[in-house]
Amino acid sequence: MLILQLVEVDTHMNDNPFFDFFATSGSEEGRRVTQDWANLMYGMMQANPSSGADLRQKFAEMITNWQKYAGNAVGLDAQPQIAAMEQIKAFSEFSGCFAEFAQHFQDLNPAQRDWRDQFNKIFDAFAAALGDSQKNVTEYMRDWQKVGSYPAGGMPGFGSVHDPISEHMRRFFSPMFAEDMLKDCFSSVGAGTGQPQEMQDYWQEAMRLAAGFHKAWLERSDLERKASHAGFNLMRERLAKLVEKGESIDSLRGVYDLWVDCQEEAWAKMAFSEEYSRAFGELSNCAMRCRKHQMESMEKWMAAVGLPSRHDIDALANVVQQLRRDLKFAQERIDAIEANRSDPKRNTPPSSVTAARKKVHKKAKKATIKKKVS
Amino acid sequence: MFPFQGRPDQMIDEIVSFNRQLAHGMDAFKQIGKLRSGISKCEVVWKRDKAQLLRYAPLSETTMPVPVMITYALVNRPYVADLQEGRSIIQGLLKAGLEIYLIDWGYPGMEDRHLQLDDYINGYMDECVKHICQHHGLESINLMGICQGGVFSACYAAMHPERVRNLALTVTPIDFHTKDNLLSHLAKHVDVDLAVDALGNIPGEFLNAAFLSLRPYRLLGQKYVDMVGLLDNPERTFNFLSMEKWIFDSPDQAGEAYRQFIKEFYQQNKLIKDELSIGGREVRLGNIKVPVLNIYASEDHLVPPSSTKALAGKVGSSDYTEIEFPSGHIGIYVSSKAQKIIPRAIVDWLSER
Repeated sequence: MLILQLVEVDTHMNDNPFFDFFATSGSEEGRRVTQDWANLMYGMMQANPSSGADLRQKFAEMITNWQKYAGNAVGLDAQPQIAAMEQIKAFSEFSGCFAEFAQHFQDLNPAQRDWRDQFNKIFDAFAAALGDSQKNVTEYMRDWQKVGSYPAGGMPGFGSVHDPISEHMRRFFSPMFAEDMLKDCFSSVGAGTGQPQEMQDYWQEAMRLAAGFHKAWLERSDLERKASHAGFNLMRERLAKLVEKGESIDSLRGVYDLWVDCQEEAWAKMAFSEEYSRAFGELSNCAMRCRKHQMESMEKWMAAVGLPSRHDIDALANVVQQLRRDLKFAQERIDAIEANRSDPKRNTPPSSVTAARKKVHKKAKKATIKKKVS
Repeated sequence: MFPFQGRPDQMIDEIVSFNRQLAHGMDAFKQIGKLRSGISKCEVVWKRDKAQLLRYAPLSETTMPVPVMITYALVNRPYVADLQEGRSIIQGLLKAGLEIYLIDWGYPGMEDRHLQLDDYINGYMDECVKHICQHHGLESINLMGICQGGVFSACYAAMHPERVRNLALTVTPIDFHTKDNLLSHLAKHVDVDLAVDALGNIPGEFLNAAFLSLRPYRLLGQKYVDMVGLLDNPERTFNFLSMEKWIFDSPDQAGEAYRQFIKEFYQQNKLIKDELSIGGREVRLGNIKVPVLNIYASEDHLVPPSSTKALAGKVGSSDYTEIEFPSGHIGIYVSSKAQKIIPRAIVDWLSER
């Protein structure tokens, strides 16, 4: 979606120097840097397979430098370009995780060791990162931060990819749960006087609702985390089954696809549970309660400074809608009467009025109004 | 046997190749022209508020006297049926000689927050049908509904049977409480009144987030990894981006209509229970006595086949046909296979009637 946005903007904003840059030298530069890195990594990995992590760091540095370079070159708000780089970095992380995964497998020497033990150790390590079922939510969240952010955090390399769900959550809820909230809450407390009772009530209720939202969010996240854990165990089982059948996977993409299949299966099982349905509903309801409370408070402020609030606009919209209905009804009646007048034999009910006649009548009506005004 | 047989050098090759494709993909993006919202020529023949009726220019001699009016969902935009050259069900229908109209609901704004299902179905839709009837000198026309637009079409046919000649539905939910309906399962405990009161119109992103959360690993991860494999081909990249544009082109939902739809369809399942009324009119599927064609997608995760197939036996028509198409919810309109099968199936079915 991010790339789509870039293309969309690119096609519509040709007069923007940033996009000129992006369409010409920027992409050329990108290709060159990535190609350099690819060649570098390829050569060095062959020479020293254990040096992958350093190389990835180098790549990240190169991308960062590129961001700086391109940002300075255009001298404009480089937000889309930074986002594009984030996407590329995310893919790089994704590649890096696989390389690391492969490195673990390379450490297993089937000829000398019991690979199953090693194999299980690797999966246990991954599972630990996802949190086990005994771990409480807070501990899990701490671990989860290391892996990435929900919902893509369970997917190597996708923690920083543009993610509509997180975007959405940020857009709607961040104003309510900003870090500054507490600061705002207490900043206006005058020494020795305190906030008025009404403000105290507002903030107490806001905090209660925010806590409710946080609890609901953790409960839902916990279910999702368990699903991720289950997906990982499913993958372990699937790999074991492959071995039993004498089959194997021979590409990183194959491992990734298997992982996605397993995660999706576990996710679907979780999503269809009554527990998740309740958690999902509760999260939505808690968020809406917070928003409604915030809005009600805002209404008071708007009224105090004499500005129309959402409630006022909403009331107007209701009136507009009723007028639309009334107008439609009235127009149908008028058109029917006109139709019957022009052809007395015909008794046309209002509902069979033609659109063309309506149009004519509308024009006539407008003209009449104009006449009156003039 | 060890379950993973990749050698480190092969893996590095794979990673390098992936990154190379990604880097070269920049070229493909440069070649992408403007992504369009529908390709077939059409004119606006009727308009009220945000809703407008489009009439498509014929692509061949009209072979059927009764036009078809397509009603799309309020969610997303109708150009999925007319996405690109070679990926347009509408073009397929036009080429087969049908006269096609389509209702475009537009993008609801704050002023549309109080639009109800009654306004959509008994208001805009009814006016469009009457306009077409008047223009063609007909008493009734053919209706084709897409997804939620199919629900609207079915409701309309039940409330205004005299205006409908034939009813074709595609991926249309009828029973919202089948066990495999994840959207309905997730909507079960959502307080819709609270959501509409808090948000007014429901943001399109809100729905998109819900749709993406049905298959997050595929839709937020794997799909974009797959995309890298398309980047060496500008045409396939264009196709991918066209779909992306459509997927995230999500109008907000008029608050009251959303409230009604979620509560009465998703939560209370009133349509199949014959308990629904819209604008004071009872909606009874048994009132649909015209021929019905019901097309569903076998891999549909948004509208499971079980939900669509529930229509069988509920309509009052003795002429009921079902067609299963092997695809997902969107593939039924945009896959290359669909272009060969779906328009033909609709045209054949209509011409027999």
